[in-house]
Amino acid sequence: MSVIRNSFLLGSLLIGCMLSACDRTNSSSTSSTTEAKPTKPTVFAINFALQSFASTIGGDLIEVEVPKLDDISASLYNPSPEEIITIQDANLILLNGADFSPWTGRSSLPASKTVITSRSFKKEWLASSHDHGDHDHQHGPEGEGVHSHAHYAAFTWLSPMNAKRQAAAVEQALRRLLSANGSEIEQRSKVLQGSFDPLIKQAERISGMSMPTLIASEPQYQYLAKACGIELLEADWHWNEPAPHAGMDSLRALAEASGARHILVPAEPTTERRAILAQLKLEPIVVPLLVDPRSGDGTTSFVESLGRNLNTLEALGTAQPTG
Amino acid sequence: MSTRASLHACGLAWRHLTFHGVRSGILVLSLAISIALPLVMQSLVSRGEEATTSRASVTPLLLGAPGGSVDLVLGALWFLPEELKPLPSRESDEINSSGLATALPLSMTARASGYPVIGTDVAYLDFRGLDVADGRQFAVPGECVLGSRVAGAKGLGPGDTILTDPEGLFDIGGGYPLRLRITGVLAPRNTPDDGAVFCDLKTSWIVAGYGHVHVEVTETKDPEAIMGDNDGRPIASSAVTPYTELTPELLSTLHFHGEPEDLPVEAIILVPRDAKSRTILSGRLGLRDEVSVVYPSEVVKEVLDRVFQIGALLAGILVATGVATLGVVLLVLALSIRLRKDELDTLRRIGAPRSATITLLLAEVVMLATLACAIAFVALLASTTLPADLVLRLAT
Repeated sequence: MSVIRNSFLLGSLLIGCMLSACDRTNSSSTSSTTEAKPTKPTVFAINFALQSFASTIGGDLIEVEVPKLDDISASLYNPSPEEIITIQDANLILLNGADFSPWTGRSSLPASKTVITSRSFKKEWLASSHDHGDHDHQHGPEGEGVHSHAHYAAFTWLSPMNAKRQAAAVEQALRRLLSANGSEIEQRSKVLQGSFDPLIKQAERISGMSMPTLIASEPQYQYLAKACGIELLEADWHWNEPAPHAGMDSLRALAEASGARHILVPAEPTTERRAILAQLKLEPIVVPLLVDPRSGDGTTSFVESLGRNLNTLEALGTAQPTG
Repeated sequence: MSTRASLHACGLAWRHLTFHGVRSGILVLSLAISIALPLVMQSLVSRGEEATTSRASVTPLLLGAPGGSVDLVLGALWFLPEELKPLPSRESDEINSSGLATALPLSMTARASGYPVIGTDVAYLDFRGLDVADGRQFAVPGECVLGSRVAGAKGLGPGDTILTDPEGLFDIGGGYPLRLRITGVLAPRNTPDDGAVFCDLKTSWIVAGYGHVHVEVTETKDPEAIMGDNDGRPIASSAVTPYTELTPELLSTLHFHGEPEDLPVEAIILVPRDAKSRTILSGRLGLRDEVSVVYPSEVVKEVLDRVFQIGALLAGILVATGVATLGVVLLVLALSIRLRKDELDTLRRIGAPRSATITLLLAEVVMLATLACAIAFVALLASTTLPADLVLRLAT
């Protein structure tokens, strides 16, 4: 009996070892299973300009995704870790650069899929005029290691030239993503690039015009002002806030001192706000910042919207006498 | 000789072996070791070769600072604690921008509970086919995912934290360790990735002291945190936590000393888009003195050739030892037969045929050999649980 018992024990041991070996094989093959992905590559675009460029160039070859904003501006977008994970999954991540999305510096995004569309003209990024100086600090009691961090004006796309260069960066990224559709993308991009040329000429034309004194409510018009050669007076009034940072009296003082009669605002003022501006004898000129991505078909393209902005500015100017 | 008689002879043989249990055990173990050692050795070397070659072959190119290519490969692929010279992360950005390859930077200087902390791009997980089995991958600095072996050994999972190791025990001027929040555990892959902690490159830079967040002791809720005042400056007490944690509130104050593109990485894995891109890239990088581009598969082949030379020598020694052991066992058996002369004579006198005696002795030898083979087989199976790259690790 002991022979049979010992043989049985030995057999069980061998079979157990073989089964455990098989089990290991199964578990490793399961872990390598991958999930099915949608057929169309997804492109995440951080703002309206990039959304418009990607949609125009990529067309139906791609699925354009935009941030879920929930009534905040794309410039204030601060995604949760779960939203960042969703963004990581996109095949291409189009960012603006120039401090437009500070959250990207605090996020883990795949660098190989991320494109900073304004990188090609980084040397031309403008220092932000809206720096409240709260980012400078020092290490140590004697001030050694004092350092500050440069901040840039972010709304680069308001300059037609910058927008054209950013669209070119989008084209380059899409050509890499959709290498099989290179000629199609090139063709669409060529049309888009061509549509910027009249806008660049219009901006040059505006810079040659005599413009009235203009106050900028938002500090975000820097690139537009530079492209059109306009000197804007800074009111430091974020349009989503009730009054300028330094108070309404500061705006009154600015208007009186400069004699300005126009103020650039990013959106149609409410009746109440229009009345306040009327008291200050300031006429609101609506020049949208073209920042937030838009949903639905049939919306005005970025190029058309930028053209309207330039038309608005051109209408304010008067041609300088030649000769 | 009938079957019944053979079975009786086998039973008698088994009873003899069990009666002399210690002697039989020693014989079985000697035989088992002689059989198992070359087999286990061969298995480990084969698996090591396969694992090592496969990991190297799926890593097309490796970029590092000029220095030892073997150290670079062993550090970047197996996370062995090699002293690697850093290169600026700008190199990685430029390669990504060129579109010729996907660049995956690796920062490997930090450790947590003795395990390597690998600061990298989130795309590294996809590149190595690392699926998050539990939780999610890291999304912001201060978060990490654990390899399955680390999670198992430390009993940690999503929602737990792990502290990075201080750089030096007596480095009183050094920074605080960073408490990493664990967001996920990777599925086991039986690769060195199982024994590592993965986080964002920025997290590694913070651990290394290139970036920081601002902790205001005056804003802490702990009344014991401040022990006094020095001309208006608060004096923090020992109640202030001796580590840093990147909470969502503190993360908004995160910044680095210098441009991120100037901060160091130890290696960059390059995954070219196609063969043409690979040629262009290696040509371009090969012309530069400040970087070194290596083909991991070639480096690993060199290392393995060296390992296998030693392995072949060792295998020869083992075979010789096995033959010697077998000789000893045969001698023991022969001696045993001589000692059992009276017993065998008794069998013959009570009528057992000569064939029964032969069957009895053969059965004993077969049983001993079978048991030894079974033990050797179990040892061989058990050896498969050892890391596939054990030989490489031992060799280095």
